[in-house]
Amino acid sequence: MSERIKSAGKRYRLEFGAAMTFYMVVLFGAKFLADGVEPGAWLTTLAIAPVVPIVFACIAFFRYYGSLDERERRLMSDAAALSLVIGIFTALTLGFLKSFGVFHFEWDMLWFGPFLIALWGIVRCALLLKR
Amino acid sequence: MENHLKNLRAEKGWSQSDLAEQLDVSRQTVNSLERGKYDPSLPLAFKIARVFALPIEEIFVEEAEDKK
Repeated sequence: MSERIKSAGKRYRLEFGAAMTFYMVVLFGAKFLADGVEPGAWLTTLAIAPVVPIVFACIAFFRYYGSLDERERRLMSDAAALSLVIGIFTALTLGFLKSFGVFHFEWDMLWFGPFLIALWGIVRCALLLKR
Repeated sequence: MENHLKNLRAEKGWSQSDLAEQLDVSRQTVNSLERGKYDPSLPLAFKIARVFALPIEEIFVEEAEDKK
């Protein structure tokens, strides 16, 4: 592997790890501070605070993505497109099952992002094995 | 698309990692190129041609030619 790609990988792991650590700190800090706070500007600020470290994680990812070679970028974008399609089909299927009363569950959009990311990782591995 | 990358690399006595370093790609990409699993973009094909000091058509085999 080219030295440039190797060092980009190291930088990505460091930046992503730092962003995720920051996320945990902000998430638990915000949860702690939000305890008993009435709805309003302060509670809204606390509720959306964990998004900030996620932005840092996204920046780290896109820096890494930009440093990859063309085949790896192609693999990642193909996996992202496939995951999006599977994610949309999953959301539609669950939506229909719920609206037709086949089964009931609580909507929790918070898990849709992590679900898509996990799916993207699985699809990427599958494409890697295929190619 | 078929190509002569593996033979050309062997003639130079380079490992896949050596070639990857020169092309600024991953070793896995060199491996995919050699196995014909990945067709390079035009800029990468030109880079490969430059590294081996050969015209592109002497490295990569056209699809139609491939089927003959």
